[in-house]
Amino acid sequence: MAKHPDHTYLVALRENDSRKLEELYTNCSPGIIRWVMANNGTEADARDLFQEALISLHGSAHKTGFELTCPINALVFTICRNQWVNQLRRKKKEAEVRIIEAERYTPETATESAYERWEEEQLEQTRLDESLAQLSDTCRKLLRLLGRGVSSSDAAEQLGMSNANTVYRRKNACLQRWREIFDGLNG
Amino acid sequence: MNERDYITIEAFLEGTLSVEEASAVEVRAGQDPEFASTLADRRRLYEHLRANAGEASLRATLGRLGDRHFLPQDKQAVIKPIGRKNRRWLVGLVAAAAIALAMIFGGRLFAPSGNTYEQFAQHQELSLTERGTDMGASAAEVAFNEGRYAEAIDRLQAYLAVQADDERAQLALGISLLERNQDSLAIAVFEKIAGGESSLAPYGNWYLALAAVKRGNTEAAFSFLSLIPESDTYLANRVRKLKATL
Repeated sequence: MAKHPDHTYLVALRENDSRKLEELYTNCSPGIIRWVMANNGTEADARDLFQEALISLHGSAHKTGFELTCPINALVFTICRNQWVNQLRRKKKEAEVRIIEAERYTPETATESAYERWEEEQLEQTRLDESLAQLSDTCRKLLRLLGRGVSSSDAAEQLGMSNANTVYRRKNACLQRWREIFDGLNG
Repeated sequence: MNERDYITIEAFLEGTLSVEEASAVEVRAGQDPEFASTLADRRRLYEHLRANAGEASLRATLGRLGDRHFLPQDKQAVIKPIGRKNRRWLVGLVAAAAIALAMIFGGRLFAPSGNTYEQFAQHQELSLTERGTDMGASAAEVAFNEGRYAEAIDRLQAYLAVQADDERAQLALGISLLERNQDSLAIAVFEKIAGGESSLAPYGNWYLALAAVKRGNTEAAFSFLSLIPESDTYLANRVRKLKATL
């Protein structure tokens, strides 16, 4: 499927571009607020849902080859709607959910497909977090420092390692251990 | 896979290989499944770590935007059904939220913060199809409820061409026009509704007040708000909050 022009909003999430993100809030948040409030939620609920949907897309936005193939407002709305219905169900408030309204909403094929990919992404991100959580403290700290772009020599200093070569060897050991864990989770 | 392979993969992902060396990595990834799998896993991990590293600053940005685009907690109203069937779609016209009208010229309308209009201009879902006949009502509903106001205007006008007396559709048309910054046309619609005797008349005045707020005309806003009867408890609550804010 072709990349949608709204892909620029994913780039904005990745780059933390507040001007572009302001547009996103302006264009998308009213619909989310209306729907959540019409379904037993508050504007604070809508705000949380909206923000967390964007944070989740921020994770996807970093993935090589991940492209938005539908309007972003449609995808964000679908994410928020399904998350809110899930929250109400968890709170055992099914009777309060306008299930008929929810089920009547059928996203466009492109949105449905994008939502399915988003769900797969969420599962993968969960597995990545779980695999990182099983590493030693030192490995986690080291990988997070390197993920932030900290150089090996600076990482060595921050972690009390003797030099960049030690960092390199430790990093490789951590990555090999991480892969064993990750493969185990996927297995 | 040996240590040199891992070094190569790391260098590739860090972007420190020459063009030729990077091409060689891509060729090998196409031929060696184990190499390709290791490369893909490490790439994904680094992407995830980079995303995690940027999350805190993104949250800070989104927090600031949320402050501007969502009503503060203490200003939120409670959704209360009006209970009168002919106003079902307006039930809970509550909580003002605003942003909605915030996209006029060029997509951004109002001042970024502290805007009273943004706090109160929230529109409830439109439901025209409960009457059983469609005549374009569904498409108009969807466009309006999803905030596609330019499309909603076209569809509501088409619907009203055959259902001219449907005041809910008229009000939704007025709101859509206001959303698209066609204020004069919107005001004409609201004036017609406010001047009528239907149960939606107070909502006509409510939106006339909001249009005045939007233009910075507080005096006119108060004037329209004074026309909304206290008996309409739902709107009366909103009126009190708006007056307090003004």
